[in-house]
Amino acid sequence: MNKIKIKTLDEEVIYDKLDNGLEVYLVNKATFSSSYVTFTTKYGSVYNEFTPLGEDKLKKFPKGIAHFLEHKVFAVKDGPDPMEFFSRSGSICNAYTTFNNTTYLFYATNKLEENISYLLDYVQELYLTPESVENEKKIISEEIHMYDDKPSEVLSERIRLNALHTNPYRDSIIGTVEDISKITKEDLETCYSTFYHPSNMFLIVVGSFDSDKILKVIRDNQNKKKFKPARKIKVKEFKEEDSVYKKSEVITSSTSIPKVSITLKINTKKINLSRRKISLYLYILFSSMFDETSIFDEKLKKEKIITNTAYISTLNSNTHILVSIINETEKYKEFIDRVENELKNMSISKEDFERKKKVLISNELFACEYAEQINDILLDDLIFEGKIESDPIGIINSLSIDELNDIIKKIDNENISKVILKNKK
Amino acid sequence: MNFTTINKGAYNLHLIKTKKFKTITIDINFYRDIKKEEITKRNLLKMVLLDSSKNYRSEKDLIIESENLYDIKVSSSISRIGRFSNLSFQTKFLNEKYTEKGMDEESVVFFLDLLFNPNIKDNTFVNIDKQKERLRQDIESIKDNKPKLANLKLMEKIKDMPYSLNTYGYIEDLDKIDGKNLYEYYKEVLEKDQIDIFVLGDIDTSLMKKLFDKYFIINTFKKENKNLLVPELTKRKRITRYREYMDVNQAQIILLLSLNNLTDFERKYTIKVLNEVLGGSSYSILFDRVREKKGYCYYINASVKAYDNIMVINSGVEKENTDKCIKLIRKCLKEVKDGKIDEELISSSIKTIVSGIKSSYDNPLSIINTYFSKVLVGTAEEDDRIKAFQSITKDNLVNVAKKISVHSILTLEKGDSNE
Repeated sequence: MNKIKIKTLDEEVIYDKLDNGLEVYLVNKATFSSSYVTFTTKYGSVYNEFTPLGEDKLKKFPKGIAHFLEHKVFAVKDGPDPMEFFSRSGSICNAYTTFNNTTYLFYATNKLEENISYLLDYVQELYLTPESVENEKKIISEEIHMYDDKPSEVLSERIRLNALHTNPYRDSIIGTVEDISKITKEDLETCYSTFYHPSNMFLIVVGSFDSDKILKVIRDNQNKKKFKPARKIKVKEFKEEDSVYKKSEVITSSTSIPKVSITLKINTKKINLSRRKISLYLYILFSSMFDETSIFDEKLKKEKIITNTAYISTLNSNTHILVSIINETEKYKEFIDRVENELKNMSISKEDFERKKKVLISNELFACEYAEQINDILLDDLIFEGKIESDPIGIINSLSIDELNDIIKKIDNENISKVILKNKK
Repeated sequence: MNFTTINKGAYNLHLIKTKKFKTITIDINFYRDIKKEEITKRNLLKMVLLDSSKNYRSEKDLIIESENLYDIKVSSSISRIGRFSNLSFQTKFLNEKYTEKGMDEESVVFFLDLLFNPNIKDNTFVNIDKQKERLRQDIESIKDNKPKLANLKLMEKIKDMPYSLNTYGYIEDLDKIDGKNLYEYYKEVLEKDQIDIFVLGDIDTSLMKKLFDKYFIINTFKKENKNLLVPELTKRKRITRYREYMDVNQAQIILLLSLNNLTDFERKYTIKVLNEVLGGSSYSILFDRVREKKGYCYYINASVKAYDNIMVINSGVEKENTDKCIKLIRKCLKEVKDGKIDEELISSSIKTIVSGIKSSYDNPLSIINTYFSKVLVGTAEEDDRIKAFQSITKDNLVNVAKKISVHSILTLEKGDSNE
């Protein structure tokens, strides 16, 4: 058992790695009434080609399979299913899939130990029948159709499709109706046995509890189960060109106001900094260029080119970072021109830089208020950096405007992909 | 947690002292009977007051200042609580223990200054066009959210009820608003709306009292009226069926159910359990039957608005499954009335509600909501509420289920718009 002190939290993070490779993180907040628990596999939608456990050749799987598997992990052979089990103690369970991870979670105000044990049990056993796989295809198709009716979702899917060539971040997490129609029971079993191995997973518990007891419950639960020996999973490496796949596209969808995105594609290797630092610097730069505190925003509102402030979305796809400036406006042509012009003269003042650092530090403190947010911070640290960051504020304090100016020089400000989404009429 | 209320005549100041949070949250609620012709003004006011002020003449200057104040969060919202339209201004800032001494006072002064020193000239709001345009977009954007749009379309069919109104406002009313009549309305809100203010955090209560005395400058005495209950719908013999068409991939289904003759206990407790059992969660009857067993949908929810005397069920399905799905929903409802409810499901639904009550104390805004509903409808103390929920039996649920009837159904399907 180890302890990690995070400077923004009053409490310590208790850390343990079990014999089977499972990592456990506990944050004890005595003042909380409820606990929030997540159980995560480092397996998301981008891992579509890999060597399955026990095989030695790369194999390709249908897109959307990680999310599909998330749905099916909820099925159990006998006994209560997760929804039923957790509800017996008034707890709420859920799960989600991202590009990089699949996470099973619950909130509870009592029976924490039993609930943790059950969480480990249902996620660590897969029960599939050909019929249940087919039925799930119908449900997920409706989930896909739900997103198809949300214009902002349609836009954000297209941003990645048009910016990236072969990088798997290109594809939607959920897949298309056609992708998921190809998924078989055997595919799901192969992905499951490869990625749901304890050595590829971690458990985070945030709430009010007795740490020794919780650790014992987890250890006892895992000691009862047998797993194949851990093995490093080989995932296909991919090359991605620096250029964007499509420079510009107009798509139609049912939308009230035209939506537009201008996406910069930045090669991460050119910026030789940690993932965290890059993301902090890009936040500082693009928020100060385009948010309510910018001259850009004030001017465009005055000229009635925009009514709402642009929204900045960033995605780190490992090879490249996509920074998208998104807005909705009838005058999207003018908006695009002005953004492109602004990108040609990227800069930041010392005053803005220091103020944005203050904002970042404040938000680290704001985030420590809720069990979910504390859990999310640890989860992100583990997924993206492989370890818990003990001094996030220290890192923010260490940022310098000179370093940011160096980054600005390295950004190819003409490497842009534009998407316009508007009504058919 | 220590709760004090100070009745100032013009407003109530509720102070909730707790060491649980690193932040201080303030929620100022202005409310009055909802009226169609005022909704758009109230929405615009919500935006204009946070756009700029006498001391920060532009949005840019104002946001820069808020970032300098350790990124103090300020927001406003409009909601409907039964018969009332509630205009709420909220702020959240870091307790000065985590920033600098004196910041608590500076933050409160900054926040109240936005409400009391607006950006005006000659009793007229300056430059409201930008916010009018933003509101116009907000109203139009409802079309991008299909479940919400379908709900709105059905509610509009039910005339003369507070929930028939679109709480976002109306485009046709926007053009009637100018800086002058908006300022008059602003004065009226300050003078006539009922006001409840909540301050929560590890606060210096005497400092907060002092600051509100000094900066919350309203002196008109108000008569309290907490009657927010919406009249019942007349029970229908025949269900009205509406069909709307639009360019959509998925058909939306909305069922409006009327609640008749609920007792106060049923309104506060029993109907919430029934809603949970029927469609409030992912182990509910509807979720199990319509999604898990039939695979018709990805989501299906029941939600109860007890003080509106209504319940709503909504889902998104394939167009060809709409009728089958509606039929199945009605079948599930009938079975509940016939007492076909699993005891285990009742007991877990109650536990989920109890768990929700307990965990609400981990969130500043949920705590404030609980105290606000205590002010409005006399919500009981935590322990009494939990006991009341735990006392509910299957017979109670069947009795309350018999008071529910389907009033009207709307589907929003793919096709040429009939507007």
